[in-house]
Amino acid sequence: MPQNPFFWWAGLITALLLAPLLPGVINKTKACFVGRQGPSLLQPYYNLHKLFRKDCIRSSTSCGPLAWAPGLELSALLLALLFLPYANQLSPFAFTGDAFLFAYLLGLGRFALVIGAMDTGSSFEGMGASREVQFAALTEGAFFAVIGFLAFASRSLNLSEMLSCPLPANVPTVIAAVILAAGIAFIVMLVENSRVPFDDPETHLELTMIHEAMILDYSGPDLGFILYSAALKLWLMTALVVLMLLPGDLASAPVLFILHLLGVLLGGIVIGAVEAVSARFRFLKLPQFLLGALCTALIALALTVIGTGGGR
Amino acid sequence: MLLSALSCFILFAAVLFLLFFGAVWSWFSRRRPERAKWLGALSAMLGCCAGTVLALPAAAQWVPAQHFAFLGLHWQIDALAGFFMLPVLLLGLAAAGHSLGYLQGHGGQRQGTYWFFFNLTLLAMLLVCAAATYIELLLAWELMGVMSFALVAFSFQEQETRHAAWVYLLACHAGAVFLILMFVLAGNPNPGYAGTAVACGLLGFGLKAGFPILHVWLPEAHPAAPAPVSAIMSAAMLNLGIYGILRFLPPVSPGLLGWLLLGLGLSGALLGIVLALAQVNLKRLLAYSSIENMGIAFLGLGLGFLGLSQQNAAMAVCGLGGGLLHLWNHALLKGTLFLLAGAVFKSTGTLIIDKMGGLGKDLPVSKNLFIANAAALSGLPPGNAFLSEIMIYLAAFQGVLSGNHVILAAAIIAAVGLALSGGLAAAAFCKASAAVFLGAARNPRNHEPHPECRLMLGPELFLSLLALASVIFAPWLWENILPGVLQQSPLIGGGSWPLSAEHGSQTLSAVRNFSFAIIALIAVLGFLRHRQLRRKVLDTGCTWDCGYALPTARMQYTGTAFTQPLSDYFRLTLGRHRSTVPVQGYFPQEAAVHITASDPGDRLVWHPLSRFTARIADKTRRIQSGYLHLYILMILIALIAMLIYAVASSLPPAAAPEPALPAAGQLHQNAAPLQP
Amino acid sequence: MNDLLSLLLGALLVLNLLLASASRLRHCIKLVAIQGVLLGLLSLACAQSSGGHNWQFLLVMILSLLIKGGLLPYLLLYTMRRISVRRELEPVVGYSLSLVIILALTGGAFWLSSITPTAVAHGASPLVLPAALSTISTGLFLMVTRRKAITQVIGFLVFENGISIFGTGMMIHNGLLVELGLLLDIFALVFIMGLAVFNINRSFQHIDTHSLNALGD
Repeated sequence: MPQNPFFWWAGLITALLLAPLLPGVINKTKACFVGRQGPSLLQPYYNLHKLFRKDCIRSSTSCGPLAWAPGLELSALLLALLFLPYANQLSPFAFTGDAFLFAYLLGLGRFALVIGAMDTGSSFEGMGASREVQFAALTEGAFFAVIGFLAFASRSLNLSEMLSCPLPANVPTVIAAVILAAGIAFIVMLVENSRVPFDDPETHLELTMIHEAMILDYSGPDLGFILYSAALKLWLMTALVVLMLLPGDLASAPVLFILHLLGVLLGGIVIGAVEAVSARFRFLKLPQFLLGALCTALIALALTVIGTGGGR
Repeated sequence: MLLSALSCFILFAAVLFLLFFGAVWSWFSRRRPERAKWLGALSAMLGCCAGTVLALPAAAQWVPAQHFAFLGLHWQIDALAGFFMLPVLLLGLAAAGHSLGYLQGHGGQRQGTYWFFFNLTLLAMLLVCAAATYIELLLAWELMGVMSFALVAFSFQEQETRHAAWVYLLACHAGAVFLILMFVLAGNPNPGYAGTAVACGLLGFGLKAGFPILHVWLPEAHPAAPAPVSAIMSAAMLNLGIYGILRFLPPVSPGLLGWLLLGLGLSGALLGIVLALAQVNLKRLLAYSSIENMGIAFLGLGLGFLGLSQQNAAMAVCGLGGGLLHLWNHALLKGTLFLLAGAVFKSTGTLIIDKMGGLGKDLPVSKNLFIANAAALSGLPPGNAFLSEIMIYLAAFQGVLSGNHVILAAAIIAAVGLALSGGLAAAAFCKASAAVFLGAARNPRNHEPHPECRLMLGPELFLSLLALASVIFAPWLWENILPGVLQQSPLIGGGSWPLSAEHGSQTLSAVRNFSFAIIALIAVLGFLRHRQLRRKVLDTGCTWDCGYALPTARMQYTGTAFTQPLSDYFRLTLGRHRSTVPVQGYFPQEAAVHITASDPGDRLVWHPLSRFTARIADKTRRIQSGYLHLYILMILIALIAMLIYAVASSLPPAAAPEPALPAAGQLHQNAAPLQP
Repeated sequence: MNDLLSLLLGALLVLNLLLASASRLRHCIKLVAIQGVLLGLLSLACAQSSGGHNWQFLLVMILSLLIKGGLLPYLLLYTMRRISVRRELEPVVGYSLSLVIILALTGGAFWLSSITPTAVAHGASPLVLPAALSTISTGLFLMVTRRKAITQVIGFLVFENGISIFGTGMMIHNGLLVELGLLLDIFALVFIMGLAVFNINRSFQHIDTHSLNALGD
C-alpha cells in the first residue's frame, strides 16, 4: 500500500473543518425521521460563530478550573486527532503504543470537564459529572478490549497500523470478529459522545442528562470551545469506527479518502437514525450494558485468536 | 576505585551519623521545643542531602557497587539499593521541611519525640536498602517497624490512633516473623522447603508492600499518622516490600512468580481503587489508592516475570521496567498528595471530605497542585504516572501478541483491568479534588482562613517539580538506569540473556514529547482565550443551577453522592454499610445517604480469623487453673511426650521413616572425620 | 461461505451474553427464539460449506426454524401469559456477575477447544466447539441461577441448542436422526413443563422454585 502523506494531512484538516457538520447531520436526520424540516446543516457553525463573539459570564463560586477546563479539553482532543490514519494513510506522528496515549488523552479531556463542572458547586453539574465518571470508567475497559482485538488482528501496537492494515486473509473468522468489534467501538463512541441511548443531549430535563448537565455554567467563547471539542470528539470516534471497517488495501488513497469522508457522514446519519428510533436506557442498566460490551469485545478477540489457529 | 569506595564509606557513615545524632540530640533537648525542632529538621535534611549524594551515583551506576563493613555488619550500595534509597531520601527531605510547618502548635516535649523517631525511621529505611545479608535486613526491618510505629502513634490521645498503631505494630511483627521463617527455611539445604520459604517471603514482604488482603494496616495507619509520616510511609516504605522481594526472595521460577504477582497485582489494583472510591476520609482514600498503585506495580512486575519465563524480551523489559518506574512515579505523586492532605488538615481541622469544600479559594496553590498531582496519579498524559502505565500496557500487549493462548488471555485481562482501574482512579481523584477544593464551603469555618504556610508549600512544590522532571528524564532513566537496576536483582539478573532497554525507550521519548506538546497547546489556547476575553465584558454571577436563584452550599453534590452509583454498583454498600434518610412528602425537609465501605479483607479474613483465635483461646483458658500441682503435672506430661518422640524418632530409619533424623545422623558422620 | 458460518457462530456467542443479562422473561424467550433461528441458518451454512447430504441439512433447518424458532417460544409465551407470571427473572446471581461468569465460561470453552486435537475439534469451523460448549454451559448456568420454573425450561432449551450446535457443526454422521430425536424430546419436555407449571401455579399461586423447597420434607 503506497503511502501518501498528502491525504493524511487532508484528512486532518477536513476533520478540523468539518467536525461541526456532524452534529448538523445528526440533527437533520432526526428531523427527517419525525417529518420536520429541522435546522440547517450548517447550524452548528452559526452557533459557534455566535458564541465566539459573545461575552462571558462566570460563576462566583468558581476558583479557577471552570476557566481552564475548556482549553484543556480542546487541546487534549486536538492532540488525539494526530494519531488516526485518515484515509488509511499512516499518521506521521505514530509510534508504538500511541493507542494508549489516544485513549488517555480522551480521559484527560473528560477529567478537565468533570473538574470544571464540579467547580461551580451546582447540584445538576455534580450529577452529570458523577454519571460521566461512572460510565467513562466502565467504557474504558471496553475500549481497551477493542484495542486488544485490533492489536492482535494487525500484529501491531500502533493505532495507524491497527486501523489501516488490510484484513488478514488467512484468518477465516476475521470478518465476524471485525463486525463484532466495530459494533462495540460504535457503542463506545455513543457512550463517549453522550448520544442516545446512553444520554439524551436534547432533553429538556437537566436531571436526565450527562454531558449537557456538566456544561450548564459555560457561556460565550468557553462554551464555543466545549461545543467544538464535542464535535471533534464525535468526528474522531466515528472516524475510528469507519476506519475499522475499511480495509487498507481496498482502493487507492484518493478513493479511500472519499470513502472515509462519506463513511463518517454516513456514521452521522446512522447515529441520527438510532436517536430517532430509540429511547434512552435506564441509567441503572447502563453499567451492565457496558460490561456486556466489554465481554463482547473480548469474544471478538477470542474469535480472531481461534481463527488464527496455530501458535499455542 | 579506591577513592570512590572510600568516599562511599565516608558518606554512608556521615548519613548515619547525622541522622542518628540528630535524633538523639533532639531527644535530649526535648524540653526546649524550638531547639529540638531545628536540630531534628536540619539533621534530617542534611542527612537526606548527603544520602542523595551517595545514592544517586550508585543508582545511576556512575560508580561501581560498593560493599563494606560498618559497625561489624555488612552493607552494600549498588544500583538496586540506590534506586530504592532515592525515594526515601527525597521524600525524607520534603517531609522534614513539611513537618516544620505541620507541627506548628505542637509544643511541649512533642517536638523532640517526633524528630527522634522521624530521623530514626529514615535511618532504618536507608539501612534496609543498604543491607547486604539477612542479618542486617532483619535488624533494620525491625527497627523500621518499631520506629514508624511510634510515629503512627504520635497523636496517641485519640482512641482511633491507638487502635491503628496497634494494628500497624501487629502487621510489622507478623511480617518480621515471616521473614525470619523465610531466612531459616531458605538456609535449609532440603529442597522441600524452598516453596514454603518463597511463600513466607511473599507474605512477609507483602505485608509491607500492601498485597491485597494483607493490606489491612494501610488504611488504618495512614489516616492516623501525621501527614509527613504518611507521605514517607506510603511513598517510600511500601516500596521497600518490593525491594525485599527483588533482592532477598529465595530463588523461584519466574513463571510462578509472574503468575502470582499478576494475580495479586490485578486484584490489588481493582480492590484498592474500588474501596478508595467509597472513602470519606481523605487520607484513607489516598491510602487505598496506594494499594491500587502498588497493585499496578505488581502487575507490571508480574508481566515482566512472565515475559522472562517466556523468553519474551520486550514483554520482560517493559513489564519489569514499567513496574519499577511506577514505584518511582507513585512515590513522588503520592508523597505530594499526602503532604497536601496535611495542609488541608491544618487548614480545616478535619479529614472528612464531605465536610469540606471550597478550600480552593483559601489555598489556591495547594488546590492547583492537588488537582495536577491527582490527575497525574490517575495516569493522565502530561503526568509522569502515564509513562509507567503505558510501559505496563506495552508489556501486556506484547503478551497479547506473543502467541501463547494462556499468556494472551492473562495479558488482555491485565490490560482491561488496568484500564478499568485507571478510569476508576480518575473518578476517585475527581471526587477527592472536587469535594475538598471546589464548590462552596459546606461547613462554615469557625476561624479566619490563614494564608498558605510557606514551610508546607515548599516541599510540595519541590516534589511536584521532581515529578515534572521525571517526565523529562524518563527516557534517560529507562535507557541508562533501569537495566542496571534490574540486573542487580538475583531474580532477574544472572539470567542467560541481557536485558536491554531498546524496547520502549522510543515510546517513552515520544510520550514525553507529546506531554510537552499538550502543555504547550494548553498554554497557547489559554493565551488565545485570554486575548479574546480581554475585549469582552467579563461578568460574575451566582451559579446558574437551572434557574434556581438561591443555591446553598448544602445543595452541592458531596463526595459520597459523587461516587455513590459506582459504590452501589460494586456492591460496597450492602446491608448495614449504607444508611439512608429517604425522601418523604412533597416538600422533603431532609434526605441523606451515608456510606461506610468496610474492607473486604477485614470482613472476610481477619475478623473471622480473630474470632476463631479468640474462641480457641477461650477454650484453652481452662487449662489455666491456677494450681501449681497441675502445672507441674503438665510439664511432666510434656517432658514424657518429648522423650517418647525423641526415642521413637532415633530408632533406625526402617522403623521410623522421618526424613529429618537420617539427615542429622549423616551430619554426625560428616562431622566425625573433621575432629582430628 | 465460511464467513456466514463464523458470523452465525459469533452471533451465537454474543447471544449467550445477552441471555445472561436479559432481565425480562419475554426478552429472554425472544432471545431463545433468535437462537433457534440462528441454529437453523447454521445448518444451512454447514450444508453449503460441506456440500453433501443437502436434503438432510435442509430438513433439519426447516424443522429447527419451525420448532425452535417458532413453536417452542410461542408455547413458552403462551404459558407465561396463562399463568400471568411476573416479568422479572429474579436471578440468584446479579446480572453483571452473570455476565462475568458467562465470559469466564466462554473463555474456558475456547481454552478447552484449543487443547483438543485439531482433527476432532474442527468440524465445519474452529468456532463450532467453543460456541457449542459456551451455549451448553450458559444453559446450565441459567438453570442453576434463575429462580422461576419457566426460566429453567428456557435454560434447558439453551442447553439443548448448544448440543444442536455441536451436532450440526460437527456434521456428525446420521446427525439427522439425533437431531430429530432431540427435537421430539424437547418438544415433549416443554409441553409437559407447560402443564406442570400451570398446575403448580394453580395450586400455589406462584412458580418460585425456592418456595417449592419447603415441600421437600
